[in-house]
Amino acid sequence: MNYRNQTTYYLLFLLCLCHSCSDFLEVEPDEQVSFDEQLSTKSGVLEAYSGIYRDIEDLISSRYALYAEALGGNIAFTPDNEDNEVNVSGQIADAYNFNSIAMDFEFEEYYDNSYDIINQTNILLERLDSFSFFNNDELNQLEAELLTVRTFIHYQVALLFAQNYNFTANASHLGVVYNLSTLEAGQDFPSRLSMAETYENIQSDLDRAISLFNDNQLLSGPNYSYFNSLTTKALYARIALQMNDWDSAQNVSDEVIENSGIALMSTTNYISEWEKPVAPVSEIVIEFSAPLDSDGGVSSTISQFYDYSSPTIYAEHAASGDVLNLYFENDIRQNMFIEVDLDTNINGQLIPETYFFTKKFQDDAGTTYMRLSELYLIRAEANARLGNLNQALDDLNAIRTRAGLIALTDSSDILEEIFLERRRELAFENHLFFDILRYKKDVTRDEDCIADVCNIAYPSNFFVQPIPFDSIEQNQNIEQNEGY
Amino acid sequence: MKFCFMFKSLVCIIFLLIGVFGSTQNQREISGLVLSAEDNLPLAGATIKIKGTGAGAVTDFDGKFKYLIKSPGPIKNMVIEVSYLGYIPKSLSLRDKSYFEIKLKEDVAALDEIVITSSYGTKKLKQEVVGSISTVTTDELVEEQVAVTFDELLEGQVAGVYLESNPRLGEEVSINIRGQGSLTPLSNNVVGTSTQPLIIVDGIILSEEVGIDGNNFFDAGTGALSENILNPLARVGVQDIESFNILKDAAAVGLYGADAANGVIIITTKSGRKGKLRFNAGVQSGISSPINQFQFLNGEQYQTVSNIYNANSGNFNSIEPWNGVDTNWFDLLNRAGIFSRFIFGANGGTERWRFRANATYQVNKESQVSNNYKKLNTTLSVDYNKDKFSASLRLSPSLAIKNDPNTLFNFAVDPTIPVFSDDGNFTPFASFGNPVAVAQQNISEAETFALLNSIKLDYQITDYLRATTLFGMDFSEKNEDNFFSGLNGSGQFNDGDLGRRVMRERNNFKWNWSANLAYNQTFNQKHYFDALLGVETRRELTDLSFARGDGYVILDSPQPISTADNQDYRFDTNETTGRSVFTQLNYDFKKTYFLLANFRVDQSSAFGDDNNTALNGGLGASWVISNEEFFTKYLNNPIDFLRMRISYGSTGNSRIGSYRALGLYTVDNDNDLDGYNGNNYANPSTAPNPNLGWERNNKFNLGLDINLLSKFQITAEIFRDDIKDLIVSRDVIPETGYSNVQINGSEMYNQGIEFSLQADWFRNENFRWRTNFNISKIENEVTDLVGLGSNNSTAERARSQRVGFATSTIWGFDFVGIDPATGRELYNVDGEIFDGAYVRQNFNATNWTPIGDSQPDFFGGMRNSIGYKNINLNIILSFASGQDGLVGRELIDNYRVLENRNISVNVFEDAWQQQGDIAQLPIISDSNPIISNSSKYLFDESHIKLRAINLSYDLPVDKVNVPFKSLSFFANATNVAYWYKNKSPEGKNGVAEYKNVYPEMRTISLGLNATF
Repeated sequence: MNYRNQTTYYLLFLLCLCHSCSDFLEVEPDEQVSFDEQLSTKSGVLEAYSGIYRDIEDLISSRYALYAEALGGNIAFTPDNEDNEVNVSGQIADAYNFNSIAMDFEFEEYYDNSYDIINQTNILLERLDSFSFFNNDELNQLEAELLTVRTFIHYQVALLFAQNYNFTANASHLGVVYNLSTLEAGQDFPSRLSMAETYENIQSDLDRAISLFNDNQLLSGPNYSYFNSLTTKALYARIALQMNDWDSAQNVSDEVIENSGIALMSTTNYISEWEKPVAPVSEIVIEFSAPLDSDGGVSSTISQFYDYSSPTIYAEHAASGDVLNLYFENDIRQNMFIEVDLDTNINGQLIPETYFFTKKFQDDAGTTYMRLSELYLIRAEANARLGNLNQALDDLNAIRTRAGLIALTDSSDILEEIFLERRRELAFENHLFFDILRYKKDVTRDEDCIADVCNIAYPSNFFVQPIPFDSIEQNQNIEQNEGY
Repeated sequence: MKFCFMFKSLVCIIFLLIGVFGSTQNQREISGLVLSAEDNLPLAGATIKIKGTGAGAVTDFDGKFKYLIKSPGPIKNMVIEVSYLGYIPKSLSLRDKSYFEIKLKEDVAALDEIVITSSYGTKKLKQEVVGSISTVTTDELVEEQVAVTFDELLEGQVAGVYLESNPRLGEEVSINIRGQGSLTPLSNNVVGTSTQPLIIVDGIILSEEVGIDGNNFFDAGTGALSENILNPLARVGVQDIESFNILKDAAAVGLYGADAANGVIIITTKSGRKGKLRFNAGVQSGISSPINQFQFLNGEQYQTVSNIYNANSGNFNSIEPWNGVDTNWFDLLNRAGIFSRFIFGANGGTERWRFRANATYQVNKESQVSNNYKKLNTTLSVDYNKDKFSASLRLSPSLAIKNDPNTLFNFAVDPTIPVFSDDGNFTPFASFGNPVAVAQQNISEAETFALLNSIKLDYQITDYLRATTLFGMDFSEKNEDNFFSGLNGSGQFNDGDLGRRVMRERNNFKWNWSANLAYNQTFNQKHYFDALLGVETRRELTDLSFARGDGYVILDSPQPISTADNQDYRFDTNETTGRSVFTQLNYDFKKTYFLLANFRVDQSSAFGDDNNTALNGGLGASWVISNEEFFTKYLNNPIDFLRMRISYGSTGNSRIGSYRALGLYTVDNDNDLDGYNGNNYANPSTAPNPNLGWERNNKFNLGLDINLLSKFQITAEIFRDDIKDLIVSRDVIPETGYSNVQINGSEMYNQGIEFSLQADWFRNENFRWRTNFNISKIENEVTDLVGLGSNNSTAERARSQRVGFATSTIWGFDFVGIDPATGRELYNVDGEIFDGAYVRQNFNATNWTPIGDSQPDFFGGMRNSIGYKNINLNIILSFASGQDGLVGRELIDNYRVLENRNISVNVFEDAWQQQGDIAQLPIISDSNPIISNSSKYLFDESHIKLRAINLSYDLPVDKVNVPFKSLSFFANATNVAYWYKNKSPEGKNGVAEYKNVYPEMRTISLGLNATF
């Protein structure tokens, strides 16, 4: 072979070398991994699934944790560290004043993040068939959990962005966008379902989930921090109650109370249970675990909203006089507060005022979502609404007597009594405002209210948040909440 | 008979001799040596002609000649003409001399004649080039200018090329060839499609320093902890560059297909010359001083303004008399800087081998106290050729060190506070720190080691066929070390931590390999044909890492991050690959009609499977009218050369983030417990878009070249670039779970006119004067935007994407003045006048109107090169007109800064104080509405800039006894002055001061260059 030929061959060789390697162009990022790559292994799917729970925790322990408390009237704002003035905390100012605007409001991120989580579940649900590395049990468990998450988050969106279920007689008013599959940006323009349809979707997802669970937990961690057949039923009970589905609420809560193996906290250790710095109370049903930092310490916790550490380090929210006034003599829950005198600027003068910080969320508390007492109160309310007054009284009294109150015998005002008991027992656990809506009550905030408007009668357009402008602007199928 | 013949012959010869030598015959043998004036090397093959006779001699290999002159007239009056291709011819009268040492000067214009048309080894004579290519040599641009990167030299010097300079040394300069290649990004952090030209140095495709797409940490954003993005062009030494070729139209850039949308700059570095080993050395040193310095209030004025502010804001307790302190923080942080540059090199070669080695070290001690920039560029080039084979190697290691701890240079704090407190320590300032302490105690260093390397092999297979292969490599390693000393406020944190150290590393490795076959043949001496076929592959790998440590025990010097109380580490990697096949065909008929076709197929890993292949191509034609018979038959035609060119073609822009089309998860799987219940986790970060494809840029160009009267070379061009399928980041409905997605969602065009002129007013031995002038006008309009959502930036950026407007439009509210009654701002919104507070409450981005345009209406530059004997004077100017800049409001009238900072001196006189004041600035209080994109902050930046003046003197080394082959002295002034259309008011700030709060530096230096 002469030299000329050699050169030609060399060139041809290089040509082939460069153009025959077909996967040369398939480049995969490192910390950023394509969907296909990430979901091609068991560990990858589990990472994605763990990421979903991480986002849920973040959502529920965000400023949302203050929502029903601040709007309902359980919050007193504490004086500023520097100028000792009492102002509405920036976390919740617009919502507290019923003054949100669609363009820019505090719960826009909550809306966006909710749909982010929903999208994450749908990405996985759509690929379930390709997860051949899971056995059947694991797959069923994964699907059940994902369906539960999907329904749970849609419910959480409905709580803030749609009027309560009983706002119209047949729940024909606007519900939320319910994504049963991933949406393609620029292609899909969904519209809001009615509230009745929203609940139908929720029920259908929950029913399927409950049928699939085999409680084969996929990730490490306490079982109350994941959705499983027990926690999902508890969630179902809460949703059913809020959706005025008294039968389901009664049935499912009954099932949980009877079969969970969890017992109510006792009177004697009620306070000490709440005072535990990290672990949840013994009657916990669902708690989302507080995130850790790389050293294993808790990096952020819901106690950021409520804790009291020292006369200079304390959170912006304490208990309002309205809620404190509900604890009568003998109620052990009067001891659920850290009482502190803090200098407060009142008309230019520094006066020590007493503030009551709840003991529920101190130190490194996780995000309590449901506990057994709530299920008793759910069952009580469902029974009361269904006319089973004696059963309702039993459950209500179980909570009352534990707190040191006398048992009620008169059921004539039982729904109101349940409402008040919920406010006392579940204070700071983010229920009050949602209860007010379910009961179609007016918002009346008296002591410690510093809102522009403290009292608003039911119904009101401003009892829901506006759909974010980003959604309205880009999608003509989306209808804005009335009044915004 | 024999005798008779011999006789006749003899008679004939005699007659002949008589005829030749005539009456009185003079003769003289002359001899001599012809040398190149630049390097004193012999010129072989130079012609020596006796003027008016056509007779003469040619120099031999050693440059020597010998000739016997015979003349009937006196020889001493005769003149010889010495000429050599590529050199300025020289005439000498013989007088009484018989030995001549003649030095010829290189004719730069003549060397221009060869134009490099691509990095794949193609070149053409200037008159044969079909595409639009501008060529400039470093010589013309005066390499003695004080510059960190070569792009600075190009400012205003090439038609259609607009540079936005950056006064911060070593930081990015943006180069726009024929307008902006992509939409103006609406946010800082979105890693947009590259708007920068493809820059190729000796075949090495240079990498860009950009963030990682989709990663919201390594996003090259701005902020105290962000990466210091530097100009990657620093790795090319200005002194090593021979020429720039700027490829603009489809015929020129078509060979680069999907990378060519923004134009291509091909840089050729100097190579060694044949001849003995020679050394060159240069030294230059000078003083830099800040120009157009921002003026702040002095201590007394500050106190007055501050008191008015507090009175109007209801903080009556804060009103106090001036304490007599007047600290000029700005002066304390700015001083005269020092620039020095040292050059040493050698070159030489034989028939087969040639080499050149050079090292340039430059130090800029900036006029900002403690800030400096040091750079060492070294290069080695080796060329080899033997018979049909040639090879060349380029190796350029460089090291650049930038240190700029003086971050508060424009953060002039309260002038009534002394630098030192009574105890002799720095007065403490919370959070940002005492500016002087920050400049002295902190470290902000970025060290970049880079290696450019290319190897090229070339083999002439037959007379018609040549094979070339080239491997190019751009490797760099950047280490940043930022130290926020715990001794000042910048390193004292709310949680009690003292001291912070942030270290970043960026390792980049990019290589490209190409192989091509070139064929050329001429048929019937009329049909010339050449073709090129090649393949190329590219890969770029970027590793980024970040480490931060807060909280140290030892505070006065940076400690290892591993000893910090709080530590944070992050990493990411980015990889892009691509491959291409390209071809080019050229045909011409009688060097009069030229045709060109380009075609290229590109594939890139950046795009979805469905769209990862792009086909691009271009066609061009040119007609040299001056070669036509009908043209040449007019004898006194003043036109020497006339040509028309036309081209059309498509190019693409593949230089986007690497993974745009994929849906992406961001993964944390390092088992570090920060996931849910300590588990590893992943969350989606980028929406998938399998339909994402290449941006397309269709380029049309029409050009006319005229050379007149042997003096003027004129080029005029009109062009239009239609850019389609622009990749834009659009907001999506939140129900998708994403906030934005990249789509091919926009169209726009750039069109314009370019004109350039080169005039050689004088070009003879003693006096040379050349002027280069160019001017360009560019228009841009967004013609289509599809789908999805919001298209407005924040008010601070004042950008919006809207059909029917230039993408460079600045959007905002139209400020009409200060209400004399209230001192508040008034705005015109849709023809009605509103108070600023009302505007802020009730209007939003949808009410913005165009208030300006950041692209100039026209721009260009001029350079004059004047030589008289051994003295050369170069003057370089650039200009731009009609571009607007939106200035940050902090220093103008954001009075709230008065609580801890100083503000523009203008406030003292121009702010509203009492009813009836016709003021330019509003009432000094804390209740003014903040409207960042008010036309009040918009300034017309039209200006002329005197970029450089350089005066040099070449010592006639042959006349004085020095051991040098050449020696020249020079004085240089760089960044000499600006003339703005809008003058700054006397003693106050105007556009000149607002434009660059980090002041530009004027450097005046002296130096000398020698070869020996």
